[in-house]
Amino acid sequence: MKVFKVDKRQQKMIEAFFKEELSNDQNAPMFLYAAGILVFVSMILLLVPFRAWEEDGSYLAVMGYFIFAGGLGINTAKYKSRNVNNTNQYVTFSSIMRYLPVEPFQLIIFRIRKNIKPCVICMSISLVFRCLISYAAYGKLSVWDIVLPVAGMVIIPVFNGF
Amino acid sequence: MSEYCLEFQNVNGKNRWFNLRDVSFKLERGFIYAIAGENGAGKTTLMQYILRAFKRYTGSILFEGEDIADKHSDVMAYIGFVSEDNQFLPDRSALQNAKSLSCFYDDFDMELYKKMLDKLGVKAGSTYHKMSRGEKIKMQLAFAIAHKSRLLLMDEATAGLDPVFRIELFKTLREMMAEEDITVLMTSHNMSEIEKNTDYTAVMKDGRLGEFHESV
Repeated sequence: MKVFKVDKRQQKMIEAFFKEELSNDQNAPMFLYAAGILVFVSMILLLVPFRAWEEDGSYLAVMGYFIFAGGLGINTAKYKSRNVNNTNQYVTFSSIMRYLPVEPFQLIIFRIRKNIKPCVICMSISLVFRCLISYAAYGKLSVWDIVLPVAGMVIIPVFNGF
Repeated sequence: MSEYCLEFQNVNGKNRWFNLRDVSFKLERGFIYAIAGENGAGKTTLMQYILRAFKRYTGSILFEGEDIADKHSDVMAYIGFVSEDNQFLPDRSALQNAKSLSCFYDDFDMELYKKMLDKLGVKAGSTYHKMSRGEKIKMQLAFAIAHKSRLLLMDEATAGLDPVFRIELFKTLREMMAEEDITVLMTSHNMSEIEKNTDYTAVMKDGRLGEFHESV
């Protein structure tokens, strides 16, 4: 039974591979900009406390999480596949690494690790602002102001790694 | 280190289409071994059991005395794979491919790779997807040698290639084996070709592998 754990040596190999590979990919910076725009838009929605969305605007809060997950998905897309010479043909990195001395799940771990830092930063900002605004506007906190950022901004985007 | 390069011990495997039945053999170092058989006999599945990270068989496969299921990624550093199924970065040159993929090997020798490409007549600047099938096979061979493979697996590597290239390929393999410690295991449909060019041959039928006998 294989253990799903981080192999530091293999993580370094994958990091070095993508450093070399993305340096040849002209589209790589675009992924970062697109992801940044989506995360920025989602953050505007995700700073608003839960109580403010309660009635007919609750779908906007859900949309915020979808946009956030989409932004992080774009951020990790460059570690999943890329198109060949701007054609419809795609090359997936998992197929490139299939016969290389690296375990398949190390690539999944690598993509999850790439998402963790931005997730934690955005979650912290969302938590602080939600709590401050909720306390200032309503005089009390809702438990959903803590549960939703943690669930929506850490657990869901981590699945983007797969 | 074990005297055998590769050892199959009662390997049984179930696939969607057919079974691999009780395969056992031992490969000594420094020879070319070939497995012949019809389509669907189980030749590629046998190779995939060595190459894939997840164990989907019962029994054991040992590389130089160590079970490959225990440390598959470490073992893969010493196994070269030459096949149409092996993917490289299609829009990168032979040299760019090596620069990117050498990150996964501690012992990758870039100078040896360039030397091998030169010897095999493949331009280092040729883009992979623009190469002919023969050039791709040669590039994969150069890559396998450059990362110091001790076992070279060639799955239908000569299929669809012209006879001149096939003769050249076996000649190159012999030259490489004289310089490096390499054992070759290859599969083919063409019995006469492998009987002529390899050291030992075995026939595979319906998932069962016959004994390796000296090629004539």
